[in-house]
Amino acid sequence: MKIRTIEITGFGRWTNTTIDSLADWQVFTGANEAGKSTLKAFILGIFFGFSLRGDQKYIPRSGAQYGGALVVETKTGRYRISRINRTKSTLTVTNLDTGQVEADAEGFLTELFNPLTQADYEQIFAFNEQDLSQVSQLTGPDLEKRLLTYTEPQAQNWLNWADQEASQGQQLFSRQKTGKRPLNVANQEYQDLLDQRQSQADSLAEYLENDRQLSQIQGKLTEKRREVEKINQEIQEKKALQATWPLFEELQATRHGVGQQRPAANVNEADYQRGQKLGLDLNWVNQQLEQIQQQLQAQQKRRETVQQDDEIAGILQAIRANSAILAANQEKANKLTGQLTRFQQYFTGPIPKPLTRRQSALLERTNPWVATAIVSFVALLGSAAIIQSVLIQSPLALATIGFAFMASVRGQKAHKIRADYAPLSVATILSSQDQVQKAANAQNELNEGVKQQQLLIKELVHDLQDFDAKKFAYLQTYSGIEDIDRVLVAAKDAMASEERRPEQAVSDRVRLDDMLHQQQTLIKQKDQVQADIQELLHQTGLTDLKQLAETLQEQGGQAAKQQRIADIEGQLGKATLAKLGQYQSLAAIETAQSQLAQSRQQGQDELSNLQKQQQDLQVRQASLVSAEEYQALTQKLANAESDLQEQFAQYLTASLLPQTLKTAFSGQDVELSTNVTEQAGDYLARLTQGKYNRLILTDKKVRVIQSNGEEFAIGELSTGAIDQVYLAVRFALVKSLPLKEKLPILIDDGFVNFDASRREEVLALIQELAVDQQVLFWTFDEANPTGSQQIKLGEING
Amino acid sequence: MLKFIHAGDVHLGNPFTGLSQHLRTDFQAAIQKATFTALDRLVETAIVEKVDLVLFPGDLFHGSDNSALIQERLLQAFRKLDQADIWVAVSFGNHDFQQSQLAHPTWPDHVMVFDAKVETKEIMVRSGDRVSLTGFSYSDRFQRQSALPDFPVKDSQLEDYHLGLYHGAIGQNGEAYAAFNLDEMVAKGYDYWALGHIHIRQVLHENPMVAYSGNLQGLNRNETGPKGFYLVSDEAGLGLQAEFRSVAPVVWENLAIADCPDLATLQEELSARDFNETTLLSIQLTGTVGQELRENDSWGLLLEKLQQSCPSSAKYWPIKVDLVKPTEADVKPVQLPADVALDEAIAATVNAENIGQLLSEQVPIEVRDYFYSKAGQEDLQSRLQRLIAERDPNEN
Repeated sequence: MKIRTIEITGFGRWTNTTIDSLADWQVFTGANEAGKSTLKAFILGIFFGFSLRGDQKYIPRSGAQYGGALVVETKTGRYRISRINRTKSTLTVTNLDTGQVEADAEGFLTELFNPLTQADYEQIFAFNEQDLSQVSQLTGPDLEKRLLTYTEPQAQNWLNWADQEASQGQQLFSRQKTGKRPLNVANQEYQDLLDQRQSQADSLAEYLENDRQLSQIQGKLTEKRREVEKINQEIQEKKALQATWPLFEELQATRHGVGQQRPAANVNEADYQRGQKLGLDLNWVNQQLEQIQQQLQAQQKRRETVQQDDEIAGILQAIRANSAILAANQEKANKLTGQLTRFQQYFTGPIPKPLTRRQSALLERTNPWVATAIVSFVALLGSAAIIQSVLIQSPLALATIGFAFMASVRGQKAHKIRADYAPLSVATILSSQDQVQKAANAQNELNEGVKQQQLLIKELVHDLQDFDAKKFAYLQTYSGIEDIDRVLVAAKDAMASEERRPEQAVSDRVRLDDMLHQQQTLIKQKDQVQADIQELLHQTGLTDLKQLAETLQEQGGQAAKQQRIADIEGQLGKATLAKLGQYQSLAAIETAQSQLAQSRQQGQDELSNLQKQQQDLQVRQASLVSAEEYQALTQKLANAESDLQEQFAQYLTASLLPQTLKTAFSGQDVELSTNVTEQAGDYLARLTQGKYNRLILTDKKVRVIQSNGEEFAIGELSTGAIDQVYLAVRFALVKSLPLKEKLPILIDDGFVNFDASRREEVLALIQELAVDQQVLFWTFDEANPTGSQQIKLGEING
Repeated sequence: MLKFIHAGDVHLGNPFTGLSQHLRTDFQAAIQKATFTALDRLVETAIVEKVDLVLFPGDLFHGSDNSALIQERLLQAFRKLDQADIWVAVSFGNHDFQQSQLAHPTWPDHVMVFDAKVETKEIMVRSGDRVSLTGFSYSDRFQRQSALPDFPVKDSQLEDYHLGLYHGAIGQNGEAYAAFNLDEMVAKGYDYWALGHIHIRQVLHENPMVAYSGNLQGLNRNETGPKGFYLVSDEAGLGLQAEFRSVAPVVWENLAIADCPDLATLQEELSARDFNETTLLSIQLTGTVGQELRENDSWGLLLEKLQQSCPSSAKYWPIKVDLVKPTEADVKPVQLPADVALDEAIAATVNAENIGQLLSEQVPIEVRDYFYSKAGQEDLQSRLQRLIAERDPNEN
């Protein structure tokens, strides 16, 4: 490839500048700041892109558009390579022969320089004085690597392949944490699985805690079951005790019977017989006494009845007498009443009272006050007619009125009397005064009779009720005179019921005496029998005859009772008896049993509760140990790890491949003597004018051989000599590299430190190189090297 | 008379390693519970055979990282044994050393656990014989001191049988796993040495027997074949003799098939085989391998296709298919210059430092540890070798 035209729209000091018809051996001359380095930077920028930071200093001062183009000749034709703008620059490659624009401009350039990168190109093909001075800083291995990388075509081929493999390998994994390449993703997935499994593994602690609790509950359950079982046994025992309680009771009673027997008593059959007889005797006497007593009581009763009869006779007597009086009184009253009734018929009103003497006089004499009044009146009239004197006439008038009043009062009294005696005349009235007086007496007598009757009736009623209260109870309310007939009827009734037997009293008295005698006799007999009984009891030590029989019977059944006690004791056993002995009653056992049943229920509830807890824990435990989760995750992790291992092995294999091959090829010391080293040796000999004529690499170190055969390490050489070694190697590389295109060499004031003769040698060498490939050489030295074309930059208007 | 079970390295609840996530569901289920099933079978045998005791000489658990399920299953197993009046002796090994410090459910009275110090426990078995058991538990992942010197010599006057439980490997003192000397072990005069730690079943010494029962269930494709425990008894009158009982419900197998022309033939060959247990199969195709198989292998599709064509009723599941090259020459990348020292370059490149620069903390520690380990680096080395060998020269 050769650069024929440089077109700059804007780059550093250059604006709209075209430099064309560049020669194969092209020299650019110019003083400092003439733009020599700028041109070189422009060319590199077009080929490999403008460096954002480094090329900032090349922003055109004119303000023209940054960039430009190169026209190059290649094996495949002429191309115009244009790159415009510093940032986000646009690269365009146009085939000038066909006019076609390359679709993949970057690819075109990569292919053009393949396998060199920008760094490779700059290191080998483009250099300045500064680059050469840096050579001294390179170590042997560095230099060796740089050299080796490009010395051997076959190795290069392998290395290219290795780089491609490595590049593919790099697509699998990024060392950046944020990488999204397949292995980065797989790593994350693996980590997620680990986390999941970790969270599962945390359940181990819970499992162990559950297990501890389960063990505790198991212990409690066992203990509780034992307790409940014990309670059950006790309940069964209590039931058995209940069943045997009647026997126990019998035993207690029997024991009690045996215990109650009086050991002092000594009763035999004769005592018993005697006791029996005395008992019978006593009974007989008592019976007799009782009979007598009854008879005596009956007699006494009868006597009391006789006494009652006497009292009643008195009452009846009174009744009889009072009723006779009452009847006579009644008769008299009736008679008086008849007389009065008849006398009353003479009068219109009731019978009047007899007149007093005054009243009789009133009727018998005329009224004197009338005449007096008339006289007074006449006197008045007379006086009035004679003398009209008040002193006279007023007393007369008053006397007249007074006399008139007195006359009127006397007249009214007489009238009243006549009215009471109506229809009798005054004469009759006066003549009948004896009859009227008799009538008045009769009326008084009648009134007295009635009062007496009332007293009698009251007394009769009292007596009658005394006589027979029940029978005459109805008389209680009768007290008036109007009831007289009924009371009399009742009195008759009472009197009629009374009869008397006076002879009975005598016989009763005789009989009573007999009975009292008999009673005395019996009492004596009884005392005797009782004395006998007391003696017998004293002898036997008993308190009553009844005990005689019991004692005799008890004595007879004692053996049987003892046997029964032994039987029951045997049947129940000592242990049961001891237990039964703890209870006062069957109810006490039942209470104890009931309490036990409650305890059992409580125990069973606690058991259920514990079993529930146990079940819950077991369920939880089962869920914690479910095989599908943890074990599946574990295996999945192992599988993922296996896959990761495989993929990382691929990644690592590919990534390690380039270094492996470099190492492999770097071992070829012998190979290094070929081509480049030989060529470099030749160039070095020329550049050092034969002082050093060979260059070798042994033990991975660069050695330089002097003409006398002496070897020097790089570090042992002078700075100038090192420059020459490096230059020789570079030129040897340029010459030897198996590239598709022979690329232009760019040298920017590279030999300023060289003395004139060595500089001449270098330029001569370059001229040779320029036969095969273009050399662009920038220098301030205007001495035109042989065979070169010179462009004076100062003459170009940029 | 004495009868017991020796079961080393149960690794209860430990997942199978080296399996892909693409696993048939029923296999997944069987694998998840495989160690539990194996333990249940052991318990069943113990009860049926009326053994006197069961010895677990280390690594009963896989590690401290266990679950409620693991604890529960073990507890149930212990309870069953306890109910059958069977003693259990447990010592912890390098994997489960932390168990002695961790909480676990209350184990039945018949379970004896050995302390970090060597100790002897004495029991009387059904026959009336006095049995002494000596053992110890690891207190750390590594036990660099041999515990054997602390094991007492058998006293025949006082004991009818003396059994040793030892988790470790033959070696020199100072090595990681309680290294012991076999002659010294035999010299103790014990009637049986129940060893743990090595997962491959093997008898180190006859009369008295010193043996590894191997693990109860194979857990990766290196642990192939039937796995189980030793049923030890002197019923035959020849001293204590061990009889292997296979109980692992899942078996890892390697199978080599020669000159297989195509996928269908391979599938037929596999289907024609009889597998007693659920089997995880690693297949090596040897001899002349047909083009279809080779192509699928190079595209990385062979295993997947084989799994897809596996009948649903099959008791096997292919987990790996390798084409075994007939000679070493085939492995050598012909394209490389003859003097390129590839092996050395690979060995120099594959190291912890270089690997560490390519990984980050995001990569699971288990994965990182694997690649820092010798096994992981050997894996990478062989992969690099294979990658370079199989490079298509026309590729670039």
